[in-house]
Amino acid sequence: MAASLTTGAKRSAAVVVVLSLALVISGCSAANDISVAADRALPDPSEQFVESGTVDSGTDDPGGIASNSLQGSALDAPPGSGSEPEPEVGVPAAVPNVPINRGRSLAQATEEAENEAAAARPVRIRMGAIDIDAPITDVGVELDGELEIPGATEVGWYQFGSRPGETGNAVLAAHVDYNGELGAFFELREGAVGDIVEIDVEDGETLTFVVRQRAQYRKDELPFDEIFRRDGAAGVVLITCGGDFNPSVRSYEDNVVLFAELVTDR
Amino acid sequence: MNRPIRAAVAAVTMLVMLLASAGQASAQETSDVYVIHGIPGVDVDVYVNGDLTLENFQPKDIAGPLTLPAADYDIEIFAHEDGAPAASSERTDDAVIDVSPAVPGGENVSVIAHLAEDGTPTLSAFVNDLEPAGAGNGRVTIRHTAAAPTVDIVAGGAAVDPLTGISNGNEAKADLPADSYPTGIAAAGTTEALLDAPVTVVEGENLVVYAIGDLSAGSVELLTQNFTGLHSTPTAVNSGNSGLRDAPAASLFGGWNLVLLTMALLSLGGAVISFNAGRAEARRLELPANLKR
Repeated sequence: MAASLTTGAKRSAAVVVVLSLALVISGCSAANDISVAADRALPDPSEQFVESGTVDSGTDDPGGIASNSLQGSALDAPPGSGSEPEPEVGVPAAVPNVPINRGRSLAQATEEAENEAAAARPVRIRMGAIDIDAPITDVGVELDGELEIPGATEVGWYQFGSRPGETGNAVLAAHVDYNGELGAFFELREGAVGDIVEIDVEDGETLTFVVRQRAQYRKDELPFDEIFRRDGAAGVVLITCGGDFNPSVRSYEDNVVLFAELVTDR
Repeated sequence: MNRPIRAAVAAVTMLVMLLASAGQASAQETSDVYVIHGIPGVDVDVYVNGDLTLENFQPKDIAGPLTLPAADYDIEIFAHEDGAPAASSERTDDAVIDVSPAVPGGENVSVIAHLAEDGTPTLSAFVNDLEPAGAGNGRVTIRHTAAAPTVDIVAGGAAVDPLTGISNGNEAKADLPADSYPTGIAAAGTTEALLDAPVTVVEGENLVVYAIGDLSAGSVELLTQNFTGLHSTPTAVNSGNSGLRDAPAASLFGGWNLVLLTMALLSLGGAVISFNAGRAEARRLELPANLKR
């Protein structure tokens, strides 16, 4: 039986491939571990809160950090694949049932990606308490990795993060001022715990959020993983600049951040 | 069982054996392993430790993840039969192969049975790159697993570096800004696509594309695997440049705030350094010239 498998030469080649693979794999393992440890080493934003409301806004969920790295990086489980049993480590017992799925073609993958991208997006934000009423546009990142901020009068929605009303935080950013003009979030620092934030979505729906925390961070201490978290309670994070202005680099030293959570019973 | 089918079954068998060899790790770890059937025309049943584990495993099927603790496994492969018994001891036919590989742990691997360049069944194993992509970027991984010569990925009449010179059994990958790209697959060194393969790169995802089948038979297909959750965050929010709001709502540097801030910085010093180190790659990539629209 074995003689029909392959020639001896092919086998030897396969063994070489396997051994090389083993080396590559062990290298990657170390890199992954470092990355996870670094992601978890976040500054604790509570050290810097200027004002805090209730703590149950979901913004204190560290679980999002892990899920942004290795935990969440498994292959998309296609519908109906069921849950994975947790195997007993180190025991050569029966292998759990393995889901088998028909692989998607490239065309199907493209179609699904484009459908996902076409889902309803936020188009307008109102915050009556501080007279904010501005259109929302999609933003991404600049080439240097900074969040892209639209012109003075618009608010930017980070299109690569959560959508308003969905799991995680939708991040909305706008200028406090821009080229001598007042920005759409000029008044943001006056926002207070309990203020209502309304977001109009493309499909005509209006979502209501309530501010749970107001915080100010030095820019290099912004809790990025908390602000941009992708799991946990549905929230919006409103962010702009604040604190001392450094005229020599024409930049503020801090970020002002409002954390708001979805109001579901209105 | 005829000879080609037997050879293909053997390739599938070997890929299961390969799981066993994928790296040396501690006995406490498990491996996430995907097994992909990239050979047209052959269905098989796979038994692990005597139990039916992959029944009627068909071309283009992806099994997994097999979360396998480090251990020894008894693997038996049979040509598929309808109503395959749950235990290999109840099979009336002979196992094509019966092996007992030691499975290590700690990795994410895709193993694919496929055709070599000359059309003979073979197998290849690939480590899936689950490192985060920079904010705004996704990753595309091209794996050549078809009976076809070496290829380049092309767009707009030019090769897309570094997705070039990909030979059978090998891969090339690139991180690109999230967008749709009018890419195609061309023979290496040429710029005319033999096969259109437009890809949509999604932020924080690794789109793995396998070319399977036989070019000379006109049967090449593009099969995908998609790994999500590889996000990074933007690196800064700079949203003011005019100083019209130069009056902090509260000072971080007065009284107890200064003490608390100092304590926080001291206690977090080491952590902040590694935090920033992990963020160094979180930048958007500049679009290759021929992918710009």
